[in-house]
Amino acid sequence: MERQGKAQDEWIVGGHRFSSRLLMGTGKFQDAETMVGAVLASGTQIVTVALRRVGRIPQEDDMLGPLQQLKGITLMPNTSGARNASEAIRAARLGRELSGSPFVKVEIHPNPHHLMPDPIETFEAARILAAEGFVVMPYMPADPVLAKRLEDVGCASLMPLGSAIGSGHGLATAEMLRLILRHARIPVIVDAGLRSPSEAAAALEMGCDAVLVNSAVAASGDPIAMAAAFAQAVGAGRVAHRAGLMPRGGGTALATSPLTAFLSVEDA
Amino acid sequence: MKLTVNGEAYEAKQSVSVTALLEEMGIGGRAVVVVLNDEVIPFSSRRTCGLREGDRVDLFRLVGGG
Amino acid sequence: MTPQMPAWLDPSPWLDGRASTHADVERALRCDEPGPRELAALLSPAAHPFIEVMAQRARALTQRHFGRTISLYAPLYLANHCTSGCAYCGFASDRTQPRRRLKPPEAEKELAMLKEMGFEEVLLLTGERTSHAGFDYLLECVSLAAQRFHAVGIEAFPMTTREYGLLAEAGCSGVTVYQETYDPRQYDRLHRWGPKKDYLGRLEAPARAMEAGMRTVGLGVLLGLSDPGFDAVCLMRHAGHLQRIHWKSGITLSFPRLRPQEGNFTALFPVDEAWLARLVFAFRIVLPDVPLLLSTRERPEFRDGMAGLGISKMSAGSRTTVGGYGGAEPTTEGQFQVSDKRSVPEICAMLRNRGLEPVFKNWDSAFRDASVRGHD
Repeated sequence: MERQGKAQDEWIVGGHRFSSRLLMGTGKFQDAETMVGAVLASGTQIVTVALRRVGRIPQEDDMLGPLQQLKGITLMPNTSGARNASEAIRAARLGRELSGSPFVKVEIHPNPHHLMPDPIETFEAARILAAEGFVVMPYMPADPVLAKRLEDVGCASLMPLGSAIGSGHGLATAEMLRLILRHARIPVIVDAGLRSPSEAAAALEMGCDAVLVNSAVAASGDPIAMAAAFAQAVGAGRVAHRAGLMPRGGGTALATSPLTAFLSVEDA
Repeated sequence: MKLTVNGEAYEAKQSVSVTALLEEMGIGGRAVVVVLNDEVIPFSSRRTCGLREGDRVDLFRLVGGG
Repeated sequence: MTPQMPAWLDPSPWLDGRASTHADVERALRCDEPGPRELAALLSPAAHPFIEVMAQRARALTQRHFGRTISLYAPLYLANHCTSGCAYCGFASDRTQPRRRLKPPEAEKELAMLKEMGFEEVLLLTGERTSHAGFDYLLECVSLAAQRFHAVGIEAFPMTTREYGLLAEAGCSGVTVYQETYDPRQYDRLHRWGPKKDYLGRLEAPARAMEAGMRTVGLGVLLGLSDPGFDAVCLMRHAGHLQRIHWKSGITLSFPRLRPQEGNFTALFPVDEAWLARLVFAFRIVLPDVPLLLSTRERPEFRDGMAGLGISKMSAGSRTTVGGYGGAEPTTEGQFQVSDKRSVPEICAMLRNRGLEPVFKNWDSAFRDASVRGHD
């Protein structure tokens, strides 16, 4: 496929090559040490970060200092907190100033309870940011038509949700994800809803290019061990996808009355 | 000089430039992006960028997030 | 000079010379997301014993996506003037046969007759672009057809995006451009002279039509010209490529077959009925939601058997001669031999007998956007 790198099973997003197919969020960790440990254990090359106003005590929540020391990791600021396109665009521009990275995860969820992405505002923000040269990675509902619309305006990847953010319901949108995958020209990354490494493996088996996890690691019993488990699962899922799964059972049994009796034997 | 910093009133002692304000607040380096009256101030112009009475200054940084 | 195949079309990664096995075919039949590899397996000699299983899968999938219906349409040959030298075609410029084109009033008469027969969808055909039947003529005929028919398609010559846009405005909703064969060497040999020699110009025409806003684009290969397995994988890749880029338009596929001896041309790679049937089943399995068409080139018993078995759309009562429906005298020789000469009521009765409902109208032209609707 065009969206796969040839050499070492790399994948390409916005012209950048990556070998790890696990993206990590950096929120919700108990401390910076655990977060950095999990990032290292995951083998990830892209981590998401958020943007906040500086608090009264400047030293609070300095979880990123150590992360920025790590080599080979691309920071991808998100636009969380934005409730519409113009807020997201503003956040993206500030994020680029801080991270020095053209990557942005466009994330607009106006409803603070279920946090479902707003497709209309997300489309609008993605359109403008892509035109400004950002590598736009939109967090989006698993909607095949929206996927094509986002692709058409220049997004670098699609990040449909597996299920509601933080729900841990896994790949509840599998049917829609398959449709998105069938017609996508850019990488598809399942973002949100995953709980267990087996679900990440299933996403890769299905043909997704990568997954993004955060809560599943940060809120697990042992985040560093869980990050390693996700890395293994994603690797296994990818290899399985390339190998081709065993066919499902059934399906080749014959009905009693043949349908092809009308074919002439001596036709040519 | 009266400023609004991150949405709250702030009495700057002697700060005449963005760099001076950050030093006064104990924030330094590239880890913060400065928005002055809704305009992003590039890192390179902090030193020369002056402040006036009533200016709104917003300071952003990266934090953990998903 | 032999044209170069673009990378998005090249089927070689799936045709690496390795013969498919029994197990490959079983795997292809039960695969979640069948692709070119699975298509190649289903067309391989190893799949021959699976033809009945494939037929059953094809019927189930056709029923799921199209219900118990078959869409019907009619071709209308406007002109048989042609400047191309396609070795296999009855309209090639070196064939000595009367040339003519329908004058617009004659075309109107033919259209009225098709309407009388119950059709709501018509496919207008010409040869290559000539001074007798060029773009302006076709545009005029499309406008005439759009006054009466809900769906108007054309199968003519490759055009520019702007020209396709003008046709769409005049009420044309479908464009059919068969590549005939995707094998660049064979293509070059068989298209001896004329504008159709331009392999890439033809290959890119469907994309231009979609860009101009056509609702559907018909693709196909003329079976018999080249290795049908090669052409089938290319056809699937071409369809997939267009679907990924021009996702607001639909694709249809047809499987016209050269009879072994036709118009003084011997099929180089003859395809028999069983193989053609397996090709249709295989495409239904790998592309479950794409309409698959069958023309009256095939004999009645074959068409009856294939209706609903992968095939979801058929022509009926067809004349492949210019003026063939009686709107102009005398008529010419046909582009190809019609094997199924049954009338529309006979076809409808046959379909109903088999539990299939003939559908003449799938879409109402009243829904067409005013901005691309012309003046009607």
